[in-house]
Amino acid sequence: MLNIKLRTAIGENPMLVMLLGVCPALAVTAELKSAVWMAAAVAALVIVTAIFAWATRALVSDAWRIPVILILLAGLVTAVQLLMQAYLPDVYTALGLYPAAAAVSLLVFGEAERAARLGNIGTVIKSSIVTCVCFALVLCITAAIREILCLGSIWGTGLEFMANVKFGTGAYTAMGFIVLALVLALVKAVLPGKAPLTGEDSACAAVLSQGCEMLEKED
Amino acid sequence: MKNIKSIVVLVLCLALSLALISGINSHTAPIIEANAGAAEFEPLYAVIPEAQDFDLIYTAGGETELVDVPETVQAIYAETSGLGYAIRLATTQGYTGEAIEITMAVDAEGKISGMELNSYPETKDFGADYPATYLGQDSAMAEVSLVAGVTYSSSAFKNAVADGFAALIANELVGAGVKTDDQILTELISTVYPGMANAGILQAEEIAADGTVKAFKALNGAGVAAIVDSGDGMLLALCDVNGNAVVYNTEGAAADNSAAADVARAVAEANLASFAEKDAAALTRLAGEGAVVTEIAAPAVFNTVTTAFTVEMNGVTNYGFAARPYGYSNLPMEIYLILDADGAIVAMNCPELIFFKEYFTNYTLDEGAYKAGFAGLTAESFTADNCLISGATMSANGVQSGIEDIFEGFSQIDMGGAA
Repeated sequence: MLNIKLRTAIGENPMLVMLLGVCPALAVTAELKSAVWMAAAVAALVIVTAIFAWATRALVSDAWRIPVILILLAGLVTAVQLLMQAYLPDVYTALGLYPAAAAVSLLVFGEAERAARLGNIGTVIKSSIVTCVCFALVLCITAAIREILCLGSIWGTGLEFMANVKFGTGAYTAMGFIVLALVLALVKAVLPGKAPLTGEDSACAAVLSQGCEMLEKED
Repeated sequence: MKNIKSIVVLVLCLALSLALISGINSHTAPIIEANAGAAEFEPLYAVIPEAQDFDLIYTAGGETELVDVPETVQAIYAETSGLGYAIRLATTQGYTGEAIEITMAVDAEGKISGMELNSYPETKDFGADYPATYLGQDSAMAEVSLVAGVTYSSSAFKNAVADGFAALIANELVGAGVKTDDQILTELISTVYPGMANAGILQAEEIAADGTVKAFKALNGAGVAAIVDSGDGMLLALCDVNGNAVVYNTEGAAADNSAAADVARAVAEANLASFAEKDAAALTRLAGEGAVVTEIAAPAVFNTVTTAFTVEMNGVTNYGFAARPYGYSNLPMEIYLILDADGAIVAMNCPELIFFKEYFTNYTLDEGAYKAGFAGLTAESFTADNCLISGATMSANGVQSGIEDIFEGFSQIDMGGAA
């Protein structure tokens, strides 16, 4: 039996709830190794951005937060890419442009918005880590299943029993959607009756509600 | 007030981002540059592990003193201590049309000392061990063969390696290997017996046969090729399923040697089955009720034509032919044509135009209209456009090749009359 906190953490995982970050999830989850590094890169961005958003919450108004975070992310993403290119060239080649796409990921912005509304730094870090762990788990589970089914390998090592039954790289896209759908269905099955999307502090809801507020002000 | 604070934070954030990028870039730039260099040389050291260093002596599109370098060759590196050359190759002649990338090493004696497959986008695998079969071969590649069932990909691979050698030999960097007579004659088969080849690639299995050095049976069952040691030199003897035989010498010229021709006939008799009965029945169905189909001597055209008939229809003598060209996945198709005495198509049938219909659905075709569309065409008016099947190029190519072969066959019997 999952405890309440864990159920909530999984149930509120922005990727599972609103499919935030699903683009890189589908793009880089062809192989487990790529997914792990993508999850690590996104985690670094999410945590640093959330801490920054929390630290500057008194200085930056809601309307200015997204431009400020976008500028910060531009620097962070470029830094992460340069470091990957220098020290993990294979990973850099495998991930392609997707780490850069994280700069405009709603997952990062959503977590930053949530952090700006939280009370203390401990909660911010804990919340970011839970989000990143959930994101990483979904990414890695999807990647592992896809790699096994499509390539007949896991972490680049061939699985003999899959040699004659693998689907091949042509099934990457379809298998990505199928596996992600199954993972989402599994979460729903494990957490019956939960409706985390309605939670006011849901990351996505925070971003959307801010957008609505801004529109109302303009009116 | 908060807006001013926000702007200050934004500007500070911008400065921080730029400083971060600048600082990390200055630290990582030399490492990234070194990585790029290592990535360039990594495949080279894979084929010549004991190499000291490499000098780039040719790169596609760059300035070079080398001449006659085929476009398959992407780069040539000379190993600085004289161990030989490393050549980067990329060919799009495979089945998918995407680049197969290869790195090969040729030692100072002109033999392949290393071979790595760097990229293989093909759908059919020619086996992990296949590239290694090239090790030790000189430019003649006498001991190398294509992989049955993966002929496009293995042929593209072999041709790319041959291009690598051609570049070295043309620039006198290594000496040329000498082809053996049986190798020359084996390579000659696809030229002098087009019915045993598809797009210039031999479509035959090697068989054991008495009195031959080597013997091959066409995958479509249309004929055999036998390499025979006449005592006076090697000869290539061909025989089709109807017993027509012809002999060639290593110069590619026709040779008069009845003994070699008899060997080929014996090989054909032992390994081929006549299509006459099946084809007569198929042409009778195509001609319609009351038609009388009579086998005649098939012309010695050595293409994919396997049988020839006269077809009496309503008191008119027409000519019926069957051809077995290679279609999708190099599988033989059956093409039946009835031509009138002027060589115009009266009727056409191909029982199975599209192989693997249950899996292969990416084509549009009204079979009845397609077949009827050939009526009235002659050798002069027939073009490749008449055969087009959108989304099924291999099948369309097979139909075209079969019909062209039949027109050639018809031209051989028309004036000579039915035998």
